[in-house]
Amino acid sequence: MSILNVLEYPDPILKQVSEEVINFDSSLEIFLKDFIETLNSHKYCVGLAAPQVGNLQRIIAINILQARKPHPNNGLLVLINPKILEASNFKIVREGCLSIPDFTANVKRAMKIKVKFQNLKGETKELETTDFEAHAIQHETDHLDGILFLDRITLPSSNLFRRKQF
Amino acid sequence: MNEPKNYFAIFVLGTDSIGIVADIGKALFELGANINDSSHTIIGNQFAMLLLISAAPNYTVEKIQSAFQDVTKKRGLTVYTHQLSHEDIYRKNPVPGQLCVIHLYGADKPGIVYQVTNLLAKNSINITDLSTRRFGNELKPIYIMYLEAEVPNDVDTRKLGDDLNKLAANLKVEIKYELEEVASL
Repeated sequence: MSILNVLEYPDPILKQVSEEVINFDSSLEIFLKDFIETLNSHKYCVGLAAPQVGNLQRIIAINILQARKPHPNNGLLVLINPKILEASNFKIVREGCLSIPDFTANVKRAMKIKVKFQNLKGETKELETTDFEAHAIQHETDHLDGILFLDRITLPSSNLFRRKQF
Repeated sequence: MNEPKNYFAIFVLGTDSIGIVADIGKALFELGANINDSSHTIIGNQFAMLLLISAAPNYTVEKIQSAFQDVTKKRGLTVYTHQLSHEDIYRKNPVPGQLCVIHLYGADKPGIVYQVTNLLAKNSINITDLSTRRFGNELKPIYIMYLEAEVPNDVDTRKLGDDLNKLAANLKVEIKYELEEVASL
């Protein structure tokens, strides 16, 4: 097992679209061990996407148990080929990313989602989740499409005060 | 990348008009300075901009002020330049706390900003963004406030919420607040 190096923007890999996982074989299992170890090695970090460690496959890991404060969660989740089927209850939340160090920003995320994914064995599953876990899944799923939170920054204060000139 | 630089904060204020930002950008570009961070807003009809710039070590406050001579004359702007010490360049944020967003609205009355921000200061909460607007009928003006702050992880957030609710009742305004852990992803 080893901790993998996390790529930082502007590394061009972070803007690429990842490939579907087709082979659920031992090489996947070996990668996942290092991938999860890498996630858990970063204090308070609650999610990681495979392209962040230079592997352009549609794999994310979520671990809300690592958050500073307790949040409802499903423990360690490994979602392969995740697809968000439903998203609702949007809210402005703040996030930071290992690949964009020293910067956090406000983004709009759904606080309720339904996600379809495959597990380690390749079985298709569905998960409905809310709040912090839903937020983390959306951030990591974005990585699989080369989308960073820099693509989604919102400025709530200007939204609130935007008005007609008179 | 790591060559020594001088850092300056520049404050620009004046009546708003089209092209101010472009003129400021041009002056700094021609000066050979780099705009690191900047923020600009319009308050009333006043243009207000704050910039953090970096330049070669031989740049002084006077040299930067002189680069703005044309634009200040042309547009009647006030430009103030201040040289920064090293510890003022990057924000120290060792432990990101929780994000606190407060929206307030209600009939205007004296002391809204003071009472809300005083409550936060007493709880060691650092305000990172604040905007207010006063609008509506002059006889019955409405006040809106939007505030973002960093709440240290050891603050009793339940008590803070109770205190904000009490304050809202005293001031007879609506206060909505949200406390969020900043997601490390």
